[in-house]
Amino acid sequence: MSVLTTEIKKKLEQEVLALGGFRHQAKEGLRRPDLGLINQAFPGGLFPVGAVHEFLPENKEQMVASQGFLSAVLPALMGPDGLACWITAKRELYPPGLARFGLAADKLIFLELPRAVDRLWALEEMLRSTLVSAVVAETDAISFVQSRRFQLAVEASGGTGFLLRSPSATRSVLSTIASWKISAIKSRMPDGLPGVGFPGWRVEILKARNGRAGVWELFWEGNGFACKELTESGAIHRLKKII
Amino acid sequence: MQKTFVCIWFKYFKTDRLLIRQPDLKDRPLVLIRKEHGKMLISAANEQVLKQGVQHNTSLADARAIIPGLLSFDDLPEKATTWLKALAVYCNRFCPSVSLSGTDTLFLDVTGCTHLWGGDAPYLQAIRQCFAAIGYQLRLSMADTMGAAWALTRYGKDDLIVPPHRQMDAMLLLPPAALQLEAALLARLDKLGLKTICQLLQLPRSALLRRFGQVLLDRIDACSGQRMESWEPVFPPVKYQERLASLEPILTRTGVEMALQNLLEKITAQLKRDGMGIRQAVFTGFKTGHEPVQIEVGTQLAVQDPRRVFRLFEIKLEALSVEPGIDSFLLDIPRTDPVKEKQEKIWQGSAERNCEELAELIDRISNKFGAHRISRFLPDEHHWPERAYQKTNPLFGGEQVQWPSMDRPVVLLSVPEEIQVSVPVPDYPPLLFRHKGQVHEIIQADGPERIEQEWWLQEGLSRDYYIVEDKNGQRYWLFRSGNYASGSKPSWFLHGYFG
Repeated sequence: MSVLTTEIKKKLEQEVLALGGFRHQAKEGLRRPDLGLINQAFPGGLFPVGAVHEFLPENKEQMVASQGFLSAVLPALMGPDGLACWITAKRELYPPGLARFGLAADKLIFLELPRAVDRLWALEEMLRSTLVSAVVAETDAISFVQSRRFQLAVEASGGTGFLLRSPSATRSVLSTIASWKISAIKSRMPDGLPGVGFPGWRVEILKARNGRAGVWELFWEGNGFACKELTESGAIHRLKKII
Repeated sequence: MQKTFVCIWFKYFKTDRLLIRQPDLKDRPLVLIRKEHGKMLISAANEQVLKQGVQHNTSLADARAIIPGLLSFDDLPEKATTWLKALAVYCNRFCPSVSLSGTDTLFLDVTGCTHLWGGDAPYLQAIRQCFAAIGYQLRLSMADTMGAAWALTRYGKDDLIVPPHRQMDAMLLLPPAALQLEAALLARLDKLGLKTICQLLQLPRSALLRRFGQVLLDRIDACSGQRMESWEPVFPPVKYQERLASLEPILTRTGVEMALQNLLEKITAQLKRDGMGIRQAVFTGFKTGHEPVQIEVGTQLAVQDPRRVFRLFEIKLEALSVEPGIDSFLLDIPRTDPVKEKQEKIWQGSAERNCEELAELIDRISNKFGAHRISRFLPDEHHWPERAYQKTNPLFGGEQVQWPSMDRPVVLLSVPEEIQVSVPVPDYPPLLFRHKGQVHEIIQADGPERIEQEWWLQEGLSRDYYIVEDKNGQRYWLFRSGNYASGSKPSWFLHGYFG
């Protein structure tokens, strides 16, 4: 294959991705978190922003692990002047605890909305805004159509949405860019010292649109991630029909 | 300044109110009673009863002897003011300032209002019709002073409109009781044969002062307008207020929206001239024969753009019921703030143009769900975990914020949950703990971190916190309340989860 055809092929691939909601990926200069090896699971080797991710915790501990992981991811999306929003049914998040992951709680707008319908309304409203870089929402049941609305909202604004789906709610297939499952693993202490060290997670990508699934071990080392892939699973998913 | 007052006397206020709620009692003799020294006394009666010669303060037994089929109900004297206030709200469609008097009278300061209804007579007619539609019988009069208006409703001709400065002429033939004097004084006047106000006015002022005291002169002056009477409006005056009356009742949402837009444009034009912006706005719709409907919005920053305020109202307009038609609208701006040319920065480094947009976003959310649902936090200088942060305004506060770098959990339980632990050595972290029936074997632990009670805020046991990690790598924040040394066995609690 000549250099020219490779070039053309690359360009065409970019175009197809752009049609599939990866429009922002092509743009340079967007803030995105660096998850090390995990980035390779996504097209172009870049963490998708301007899209909606979903987290599927199975119990309280996994929920907390997802919240911890997200508080490490959000600062990279927000940058020094950005702001983010966290929507919960009942706020249990402890603002001083987020600082450990570099997330300044004073740049976080908390919404406490007991009604599921209200949370979805607020989520859509926040995703539509160009001022809010990232929105995390704890959700119960969501319909496919609703998730599609969120996708449309972020496509217009460029924000990134994270749905933390409640362990007790029924899980339906949604139009999201990736499905994650985060669980805690033993922390790592340098040089085998005793005590609780850097927090670690087992990060599972169950589904990634135009990317691949996989399992990784990820550690938060105070100012960045350290990552190791556990298994080599799944070839790159073929470009699917865009939903 | 020349003033004009309307006095509305609800002659059968309490019984009318009862009849509105129980229409089947109509045309029956009806009294309200109160208990006094073991006697049942009549405190209010309707027209049928009064016509047959039964007076107020007659005992119920005597009244029953005169009118055999008399119906009696308990009086609720403490409620009367509340009810009257509701009617004052109702009157707000006629004039901006309403005041209560006693338990059955309203004063309206109608200076400069009547021409909107096409003159004094149609104005009074409108008031009468409005209350007749609900079911209240009233007596009305209009005069330059409150005292004269009151006197004429009680003792004068109904619907009397006194021309400017002629109130004393209208009162000449009324009895002295029309001056709102005490019973003892009235008895003395009666004894002396002074049956009309005319007779009183013919006497020299010095003689009146000597014989009856300053009170009588004060009341005469209040009626004539020589002396100002204090005016206590039910609603404090609002500087920015606009009203819109419509010829036909508005029944559609579009109609209401148009009215609101119209009012907002008028108000914001006024505010712009004064360099002010809206912080709070109240939109009221008045209906004939029904309670008024009201919606309210608030904003974080002073807003001058009518479209922005309209968008906030839009979310709430759905809840506004228009049935059976709104015939006049009122827009109040109880809170305004000067508009700064340059808005303050919200967060350090944030672009200034974003302020307005962000304020609008937060307004939309807080107007829909309530301001308490939206929060932002700043660190607070306390070691006690529950007090280590404080809630702040979602827009302002907190430049140069530094969060302390301590190992704190991502999730903190609002109420610590008790756990069962196995601790081989006091002051060491537990080997395992049981929470909600699940046993967690502890592999790694950090601690203790002792946090003492802040005695100037709260007394109690100190806490020793441990960060523990179980076999599965899940991290928890546990604490022991108190010490082992004291002899008793201290309790352990789970307080948080680390991410």
